[in-house]
Amino acid sequence: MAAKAVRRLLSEYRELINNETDGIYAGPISEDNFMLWECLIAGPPDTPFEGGMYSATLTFPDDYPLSPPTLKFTCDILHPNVYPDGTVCISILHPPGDDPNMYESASERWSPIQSVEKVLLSVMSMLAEPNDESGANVDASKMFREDREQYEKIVRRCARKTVGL
Amino acid sequence: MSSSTSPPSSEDMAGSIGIPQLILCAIVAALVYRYVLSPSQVSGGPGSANGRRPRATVSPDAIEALRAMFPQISVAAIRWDLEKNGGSVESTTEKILTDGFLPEPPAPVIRQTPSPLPGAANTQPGSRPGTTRPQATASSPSSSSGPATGHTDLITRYNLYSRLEAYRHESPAEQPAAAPKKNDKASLFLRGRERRDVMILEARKKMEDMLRR
Repeated sequence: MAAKAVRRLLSEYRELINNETDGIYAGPISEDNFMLWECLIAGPPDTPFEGGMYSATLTFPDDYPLSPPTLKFTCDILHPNVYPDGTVCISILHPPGDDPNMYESASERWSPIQSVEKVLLSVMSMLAEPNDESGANVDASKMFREDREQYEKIVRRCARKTVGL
Repeated sequence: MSSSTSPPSSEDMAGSIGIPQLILCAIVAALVYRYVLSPSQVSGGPGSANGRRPRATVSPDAIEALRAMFPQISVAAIRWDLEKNGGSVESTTEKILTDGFLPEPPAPVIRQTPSPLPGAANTQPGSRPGTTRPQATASSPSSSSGPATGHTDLITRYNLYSRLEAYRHESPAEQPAAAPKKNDKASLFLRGRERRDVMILEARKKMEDMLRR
């Protein structure tokens, strides 16, 4: 079961390294474990996240790519769709059967034709355009709606922190 | 018809509920004054916080909201700061943003220890030995807030301080051409790691430029 997942992940990794996509990096943390990756996502330009480099871990299930990976930020981040523990909540990471938010269409959810690259690009556009209906971080959603200035100030501060400034 | 029945009923209501209503209004007004309006008066001086029981003004919601924004700050430190400023979430937020941390209360509380990072343990072996930490602390003033943060920055995590100075002077375009395009696992990893490090160094350089402007 897992052997299939490893084969697929190796080919995705090869693809990612040979055809670099601007602003994202992903790869296994250790050569011995292909089911746990680290990744980097650049803050999208013209947003308060600009300039930040956001690190996260991707954990793959044994039946990948049938089931989606989970993505968890390993840096301080304030965002309406990121739980306080760093776990990201977006439709592409949810399998079609399970829809915790009841508004996602099946086409934007996980399926084996998605990939690590598409997940990371989705997360990047999620940073630029938060969905404040999903309540992964209720306080961040509230601040995003009601006190945008404060929200952007905190986000900028966190962005500087990611690169040690 | 309707005009003749309504006046007595309204008069009746005014007569029977008038006084309890007044008392109720007074109680509500007192509560509103006590819990909603008073914090702004309390925040006038730090001395007043010692005078009255400040605990009453710190709502669990405020602590929770601040925790959600700054998970690296301990609940005890948040509560202590809120008690000092009379429950103002804004002023505590401001303080965390300017200082990067909150002082822990003097009472014995559990200090947050920096948690081991998922990436840190496994990614080091191949990286360059002999990193210069003194340079690290000199070039990043924000690292002084170390004890309060839950996550380390990427430069620290991947030991990139030693490469920082050199990278500022080299152009990023030279990097990929040097690596031979082999596809076996080992060289994939080598190229992957290099790409990761260069991305971080590039981001740091860009952020330095951004802050200079």
